[in-house]
Amino acid sequence: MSDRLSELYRKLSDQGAAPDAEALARLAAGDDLGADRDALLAQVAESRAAADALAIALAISDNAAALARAIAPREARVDVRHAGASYRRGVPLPWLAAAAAIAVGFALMLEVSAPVQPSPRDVASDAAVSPGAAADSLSEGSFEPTSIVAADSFESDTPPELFSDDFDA
Amino acid sequence: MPDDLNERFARLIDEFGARLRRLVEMRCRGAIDADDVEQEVRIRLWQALERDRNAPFSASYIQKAVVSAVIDAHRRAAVRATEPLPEGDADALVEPGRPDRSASADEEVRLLAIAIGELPQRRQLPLRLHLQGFSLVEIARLTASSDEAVRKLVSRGLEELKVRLRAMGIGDAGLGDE
Repeated sequence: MSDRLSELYRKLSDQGAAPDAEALARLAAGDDLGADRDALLAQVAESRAAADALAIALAISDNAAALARAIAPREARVDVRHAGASYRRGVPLPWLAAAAAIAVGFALMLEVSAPVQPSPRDVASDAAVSPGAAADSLSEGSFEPTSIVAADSFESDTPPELFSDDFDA
Repeated sequence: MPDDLNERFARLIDEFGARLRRLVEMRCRGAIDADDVEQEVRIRLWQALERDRNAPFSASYIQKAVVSAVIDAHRRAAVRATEPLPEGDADALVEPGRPDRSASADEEVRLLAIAIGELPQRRQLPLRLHLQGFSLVEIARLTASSDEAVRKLVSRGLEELKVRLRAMGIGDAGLGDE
């Protein structure tokens, strides 16, 4: 290519308006600019300042990356702190977990303490028993005189063990 | 920033500044002051660090500082009086033996604009970028085209441009093809 032609063209583009620096930097960084890319490139082609800026930004991209990495430890510390904050925001809080556990326990307790409803099968088997033998569960209990109260009578021949010790001895 | 990180950053920014200065000198060839650009970028980066020590400091951000500094330097240069082409360069554009068809440097620039504008649209952008000094690989990357496609567009565009310029009276002496 003729250097002279290039020189003439650069003179031609001396007065071309440079596009926004942010957009040029994005172009240099290889960002996807979508439909704006062609218009931006046209501006670069028509502006010597933009062309120089973009060419230098492209040429120095490796150094820029190294410089950015040099500050990476500082960024990493920031990232960790931010990551911690987002973790706390993202994960359910301990008190929330405790509240959920209590709610489940309460529900279980209610279920256990609720009156037992006889199942249809139980009802059917009860109906098969003879009417004379029909009795509720309470009446099936035996109240023979061997109850504790009767057995603990002080009139018994054998005193209760509690009183076996003779304090007067 | 801790001292060791400060030192490392200072060393890297020195290297970065030196390379930036060389690139500006090479690319801009005296049109803008390389030292000014380097100094401006350094100041912008330090100011950014001081302003917000926790701000993300990406390569893209650094490139933006460079782009801004170069564009601003060009604007400052444009404000200064535009220097005319050296006498010798203007003479080189004159086709030997055809003084009637010779033109001043400004006229050459005007004709060049016309000639480029007459090229097929698809060849214009790659050719303009090439005349701005971008390599074929860079143009391919910027336009998301293949290297081969860009090479053909630029090569054919250049040939056609030269034919048109010759027809306008800008001879090979002006195009540097002697």
